[in-house]
Amino acid sequence: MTNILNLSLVEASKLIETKEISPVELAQENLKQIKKTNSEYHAFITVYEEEALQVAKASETLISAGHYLGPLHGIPIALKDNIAIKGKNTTAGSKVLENWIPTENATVINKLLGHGANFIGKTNMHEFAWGGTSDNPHYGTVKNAWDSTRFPAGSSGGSAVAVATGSCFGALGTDTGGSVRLPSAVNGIVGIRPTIGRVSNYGVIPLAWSMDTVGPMTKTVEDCAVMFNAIAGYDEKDEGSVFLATEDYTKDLNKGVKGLRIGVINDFTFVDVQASVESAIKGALQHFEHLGAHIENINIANIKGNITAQLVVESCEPSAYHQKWLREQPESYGADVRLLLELGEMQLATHYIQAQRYRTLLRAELLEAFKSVDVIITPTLSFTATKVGETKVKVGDEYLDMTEAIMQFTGIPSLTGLPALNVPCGFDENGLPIGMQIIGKAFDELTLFRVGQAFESTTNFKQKKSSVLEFA
Amino acid sequence: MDFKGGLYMTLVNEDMVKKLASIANLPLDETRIKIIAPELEKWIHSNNELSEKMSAEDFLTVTPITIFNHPGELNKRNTDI
Repeated sequence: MTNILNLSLVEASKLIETKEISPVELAQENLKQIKKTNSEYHAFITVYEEEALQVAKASETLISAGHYLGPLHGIPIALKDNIAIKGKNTTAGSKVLENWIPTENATVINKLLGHGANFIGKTNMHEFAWGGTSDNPHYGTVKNAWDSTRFPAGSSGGSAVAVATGSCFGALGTDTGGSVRLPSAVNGIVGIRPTIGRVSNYGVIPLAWSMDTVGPMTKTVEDCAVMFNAIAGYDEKDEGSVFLATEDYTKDLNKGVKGLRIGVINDFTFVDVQASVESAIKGALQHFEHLGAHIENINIANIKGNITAQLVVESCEPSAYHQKWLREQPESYGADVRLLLELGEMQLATHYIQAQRYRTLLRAELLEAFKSVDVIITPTLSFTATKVGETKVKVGDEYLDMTEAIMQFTGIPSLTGLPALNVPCGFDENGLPIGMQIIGKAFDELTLFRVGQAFESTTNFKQKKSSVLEFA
Repeated sequence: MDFKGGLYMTLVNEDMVKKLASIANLPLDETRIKIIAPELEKWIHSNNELSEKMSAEDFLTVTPITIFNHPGELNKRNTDI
């Protein structure tokens, strides 16, 4: 049989359903892998070793008795450590909350429990999700699953590395400015930012309220759709939650893309992008054409300004949330997050409002573009994983500021509240993964999974594994 | 506006950061002020550029995305789920 750790979530769940494999075996294999890798990769802050085995045994008993709860039953899932679990430490990767024990589960936790998921541990992250490197001064620097000298991006770096190293079969991350999609891209996995309001944020420690979302991170598009089925839906506890019926997000996976219209943004998609990334995205677009999709060039007249708007919103809102702690215990924060929070205190109200007005403008232009296309494709990130600790990134002959370069593409859906899926689409000259971002219409995650699956199932990028998984 | 005929003016100095922190009731020592000032200088120029863009006549009717649409009430009244 294939190495268990190389199975996708759906493959593993089929074997559980047919009782060819036990949830206990899955949990044991993942726990072994965590033990083997965590001292180097720092993907986990907490591992639920005993509890995961107990839950696995209970799942095995239930399934044997004929009470199979569906494709997540007995599946080991990792959770970013800013998602509250009742009675369990939830640190948000911070020293400020190192001893915080929530008294209630986040809504997404209850939803996953209802589907029989088995929580294997809490993953490391950029402190309070305010940054894109997952270089955490309190719980260790998370390392890229494909090359441990390189960064895993962030802020959900631990969740991405947990999936890519085979330490779990799926993970939850949170995405404000790109924190699910960016680490998914550089670790060669799939991750979705949902339409804002589609998945409850209740019980999730906020970064920037007006852009925060929770999304699954998995090895395959189908796995991602299966996890999305479990967590999507209205939640009366979350004031931003949208009262709208959900769908079976796996139902169109095999529909293909024939006749679908894919938009490429003029004077934006290939600007300030590394050559290998440009080549991979162009290759993906050609592949979609070969599959019968139509590629349309579109104009977004006011796309310039997106990085500034994102920085303003993402600095002012966290600084409001952290005001008390920043005054009482500033030394508890890592150097980069402390500086960002201090800077956020010094923006003008008019800067913040102008950024919020810019979001309206950008959204209107994207909605107009979506009259002529079904999805828009960009790179997820303009560059592949840099060495850990670098603050500049080389694109062509230029060195760009990492904070700004990292926001170039993922900020578009974040600012406009639209959904976006990262799907692996190539490798650079060093064998590092490249991701494409598929942006959809509001609440049209179904089409994103359909497009992602059409690409994944007709290419072989998902066959290549990170070295950690390959030699497991 | 800081943008005059294509030339940027220096907007932020350490004394200004000190005053801003004082207004915000944020205690900062001299070391912090030295770290913050040059970063804030970079940010403020970009922010002002965005403000200038959004102040254009074409965009006068654009409202901020933070308008309140009473989602809770709407959800209670909507039974189509």
